[in-house]
Amino acid sequence: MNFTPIDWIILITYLSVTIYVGIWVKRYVQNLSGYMVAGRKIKVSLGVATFTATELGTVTFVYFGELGYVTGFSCFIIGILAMIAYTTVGKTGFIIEKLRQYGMMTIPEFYELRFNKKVRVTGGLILFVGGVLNMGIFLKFDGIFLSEVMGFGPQALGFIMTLMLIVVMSYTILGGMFSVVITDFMQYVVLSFAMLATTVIVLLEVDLSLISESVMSGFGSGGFNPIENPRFGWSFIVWILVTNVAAAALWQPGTSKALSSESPEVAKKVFWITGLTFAGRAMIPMFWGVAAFAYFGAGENSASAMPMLLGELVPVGLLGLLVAGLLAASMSTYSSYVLAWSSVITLDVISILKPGGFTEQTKMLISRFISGLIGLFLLVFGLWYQIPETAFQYIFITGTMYTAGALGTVTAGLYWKKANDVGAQAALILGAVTPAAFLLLEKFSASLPAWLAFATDVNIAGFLSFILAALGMVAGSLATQKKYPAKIINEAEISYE
Amino acid sequence: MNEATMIWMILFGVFATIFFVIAGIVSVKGIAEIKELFNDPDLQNND
Repeated sequence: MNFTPIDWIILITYLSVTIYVGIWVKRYVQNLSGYMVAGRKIKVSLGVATFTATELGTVTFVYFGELGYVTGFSCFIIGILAMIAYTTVGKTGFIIEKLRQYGMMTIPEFYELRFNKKVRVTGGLILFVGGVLNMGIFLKFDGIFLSEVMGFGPQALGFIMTLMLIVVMSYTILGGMFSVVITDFMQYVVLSFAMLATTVIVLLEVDLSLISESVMSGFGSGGFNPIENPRFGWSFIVWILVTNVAAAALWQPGTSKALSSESPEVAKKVFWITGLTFAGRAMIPMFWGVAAFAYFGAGENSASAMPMLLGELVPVGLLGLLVAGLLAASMSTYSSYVLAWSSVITLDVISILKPGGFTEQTKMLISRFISGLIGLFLLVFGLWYQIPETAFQYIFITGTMYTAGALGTVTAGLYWKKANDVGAQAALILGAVTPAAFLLLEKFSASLPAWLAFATDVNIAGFLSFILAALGMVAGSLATQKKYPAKIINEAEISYE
Repeated sequence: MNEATMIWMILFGVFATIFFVIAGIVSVKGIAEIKELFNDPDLQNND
């Protein structure tokens, strides 16, 4: 075991403080907007901290580290593409500015405003399913990472997973977005420091010349050039860029930070400043993964190699802080994601389907209950499901299940007057079809006919989903324009600052 | 160390520095914003 008593003291102290603060903040939650969007009071620095912390979980380190281990430096392009996408959305206010201006709490809420309730329910269901599947592997990979870094081995996986879940659920369920924002901030500070210290240690302990030679001998030019790398290529790069733009504007856990901002201007600023960190966010753990390849060679489990490196190199005391930081990273991600998905299913599906709706207090209760169910799902799914490809590609394809349709629907809804509810339904459903088909068909890839093989290529499936969603929106709207004329939003009636 | 490694490591250095500098600034300013948030008189009446 790599963990010493000092490391345990640091870790337990940190976790205890987090739980205490997370639950203490509950006193500020008096109503639904307080629970879902922190009363829309979040300013720039808190917004950046909570956004970054949300999008930087232990699973982020695992899948980026894995990519570094299996592709060398080529994967660094992903960080650059993410940075371009998020800063562009932030600077232009593409989608996020309008949604914040309209006072939306969820993306599907916009679907009802612009189209109708049926589109909201369809969108809400797809978002919920895609979102929960997306986070289905987080707990498992967090468990793998932590058990390797701490030196427990795979036997401790189930126990570590359960403990983490209990800690996060306790303050997320009670405190909602206030707890999420404040604990995210704490986690951001601890994690940033731990990342800095770890990066310095890896740079000092693993020789750059060894890294360079290992990547060249292990991957050839594909280890440096993403176009030549067999896992990437142009289709991957285009898909990742488009997905990142869609995710930046529409991924509920991130977008909810914009919707919680004090104003549309603050929302934009939060996005572009956070966007600037997205290249480093990816490259830092990727570099650790490349270093792991140089250190251990090619024979290790791709998801475990980087955590094993950290377990070996990081000294006593700092290891405890690193694990505290990574647990912090996980907890901030889980809390935001669970809150996002439970908010969506509560507000955009259950409340809509019930005639007369529910009171605010009942909605909060339902959201808390759903949060608990999602937690149970994470435990069971994480221990059982075998992911195809790398963790990174699983996460992106499940995210695409929602973002492809949402991008077409929201973009057209905001910027194209002819977009109608038929086009919206078509975009949402078609956007979900190819990722869903990929997840199902790849299990039977050996027995599929040749003409269907493209559906089990994750890059093609991802890319195709955006195209089909866009076609669905345009063709569906134009073909039914007379029977289902487009609805116009009266901004004077609904603007909310 | 080959040229490609050098290029990627320079980019890594630049973007990692940006990440940590922003982290430092946000950490300091965030504390003041949290204090302001907890003292906000409207906090319990928002809708």
